[in-house]
Amino acid sequence: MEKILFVAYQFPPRGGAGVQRSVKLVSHLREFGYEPIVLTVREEDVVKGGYPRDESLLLKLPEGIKIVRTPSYEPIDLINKLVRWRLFRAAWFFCYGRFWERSAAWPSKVLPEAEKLIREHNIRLVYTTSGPFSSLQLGLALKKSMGVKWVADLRDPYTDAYAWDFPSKWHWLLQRKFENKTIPEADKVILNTPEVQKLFIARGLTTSAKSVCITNGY
Amino acid sequence: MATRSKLVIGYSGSLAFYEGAYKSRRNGWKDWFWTYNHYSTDPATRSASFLFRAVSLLVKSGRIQKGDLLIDLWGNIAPDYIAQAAQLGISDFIRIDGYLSKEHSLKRGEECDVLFLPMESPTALGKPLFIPGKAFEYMQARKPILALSYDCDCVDVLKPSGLLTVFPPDKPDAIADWIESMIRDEAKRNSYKVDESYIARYSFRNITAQVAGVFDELLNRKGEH
Repeated sequence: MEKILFVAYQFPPRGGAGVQRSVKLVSHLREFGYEPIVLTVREEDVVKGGYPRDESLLLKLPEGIKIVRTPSYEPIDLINKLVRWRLFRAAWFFCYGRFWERSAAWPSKVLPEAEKLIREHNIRLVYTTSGPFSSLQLGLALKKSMGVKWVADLRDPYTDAYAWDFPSKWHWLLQRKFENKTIPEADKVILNTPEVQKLFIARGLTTSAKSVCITNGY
Repeated sequence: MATRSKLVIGYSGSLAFYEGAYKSRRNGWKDWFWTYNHYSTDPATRSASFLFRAVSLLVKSGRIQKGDLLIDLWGNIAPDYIAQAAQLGISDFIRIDGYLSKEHSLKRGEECDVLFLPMESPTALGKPLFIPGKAFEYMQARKPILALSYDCDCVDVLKPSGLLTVFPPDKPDAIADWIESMIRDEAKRNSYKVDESYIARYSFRNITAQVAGVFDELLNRKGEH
């Protein structure tokens, strides 16, 4: 069985829409010759982050799946204080690198752990699922440091979608640059609607050879 | 014990509140210094408001009574919908609950007669970019799907299943007529010709096979399993 590193920041016991694809992929990958080693965050950090919980999803995972849990490094206490002091907006604007996603610190903090897993299990392929989009940084870093193949699965588009707020249009442009720097580096980009694939090819983020549209399912 | 309504239209997931047509939030020069949102698609139609308006037409014209219809919304539903339902005089026809576990959510979906799917609308910048995961769960449930949408990938995916009825969101009369026909004519609810082989394509086993195919290609493992 070929082992792969399955990077899913959002994973049960966290519930909600963002975890369903990961749960289902992890449930079936063994049937196709792949043993996923899941890298995600600790259960207590799901609680602390105030995310919806769904313990029933854990029961859907196949027996014996290795799940490595790390701290989420989300600056919840700091964010709460900044909100209380009415400084969050300023921090978001001027310290965007720290606050662009709650998970912004996670990729750099867990990089050594991910590298260790790759070495221990002779992993040749890393799969990242986004959002959060900071996971793209981890995929890229692992590709560079460990020479692994990297598959970036984008469950949603980022700067092309209305679903995300940016402190200003400058920050939006900054994140467009982030996309331009990270996404083309993936060995394969999985996009989940034909329209997004068309858009990404038009933007030069990928090519039809380096991308594939794989929708969700049931 | 409460009597079940003749027709239950259900929705699970997140629904932000949008009332009426989308108004651009673009502020010109302010975009460069204040919160920016890239409205490549119009989110305003991804809303229950258009459905509420159709229900309101039915109620006001006396075409439906309490017990005929229940719009059942659960998940991360904006509380503004409660106020909107009251304002439209349709509170008796609306039930709004919070987040349920996946297991409970699927069970509740099974109790519905029709599943509701509001979608974003295209703008000058492009077509809607999302196909919500629930679209596939709806197919799996093999129940009639009421989508309020313009042209988008989601409609393209759902149409061949045989389960989809789609209306432009700004046609409340047509939506109301369809709801009334589904209440009055129970046979209509069961008359959908479901394409089983098409629906089977979207089982997650098949989706995983495609993802594994990507891994095979990159690792040169084609045909090893």
